[in-house]
Amino acid sequence: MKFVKKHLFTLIAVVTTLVATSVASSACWWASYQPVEPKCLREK
Amino acid sequence: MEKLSNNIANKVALELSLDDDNREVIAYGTFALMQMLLSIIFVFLFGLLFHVAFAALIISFTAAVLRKYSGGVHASSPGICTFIGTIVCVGQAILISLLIGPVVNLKLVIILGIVIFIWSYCIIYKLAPVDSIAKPIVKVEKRNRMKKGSIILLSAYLIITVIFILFYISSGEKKLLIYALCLYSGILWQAFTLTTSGHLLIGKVDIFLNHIVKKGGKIV
Repeated sequence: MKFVKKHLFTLIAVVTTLVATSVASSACWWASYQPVEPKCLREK
Repeated sequence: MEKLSNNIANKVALELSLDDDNREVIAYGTFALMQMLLSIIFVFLFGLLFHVAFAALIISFTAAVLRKYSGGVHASSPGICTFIGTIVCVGQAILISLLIGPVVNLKLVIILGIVIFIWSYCIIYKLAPVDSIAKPIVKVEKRNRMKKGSIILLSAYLIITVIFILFYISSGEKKLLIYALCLYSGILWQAFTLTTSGHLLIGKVDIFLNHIVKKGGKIV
């Protein structure tokens, strides 16, 4: 159970990080509300 | 929704022993994913209610994909954003499918297409990308990349429209003209959100909806 849980959390982390990176490289995301972008994703 | 995405990110970060930066990125990604899914589900469900689900989804996807490059005006909360998005997409789909649909013809689609594409190219060339305080686009290279992406995407939409028209000419299937109108509608709305008038309109609607939400909260 612990093994499955860890893999599930890893999967969530990978998918959401990919989405966050995709949002960071675009002008804005799907909808017309924009949450504050994390500083580590901002292009300097 | 922000609270839920933060809770998920906290849980994941805790279980995988991730640092604060990673937790923030996961929260941001979770929020983006949830907002996208919720927007699509709402447009689909309300579209189904009025028998215009497919048309509404075409409008929604057309505007949303273009938005990734062109940016645009933002709502003050995710709820208001989903509400406006659903009303706009389903409303336009109803207008196109039920009102314009019965009288649509090739001439009308071609004339509308010429006007809408010329106007959209001008607006996007002049204004895109429109950023926000929450996600500023500072780098000139990125601004140029986004503008170029918007123009390329608009050109892709133009090609798709031409394909729809050509297929209509060969098959006579009226639905293809409706789909072309849906594409126009998504492009038109997205280009409008880049303009000052778009900012003013969404701003006013946003204030009005916020007022209603606050008033509703007081009553409850």
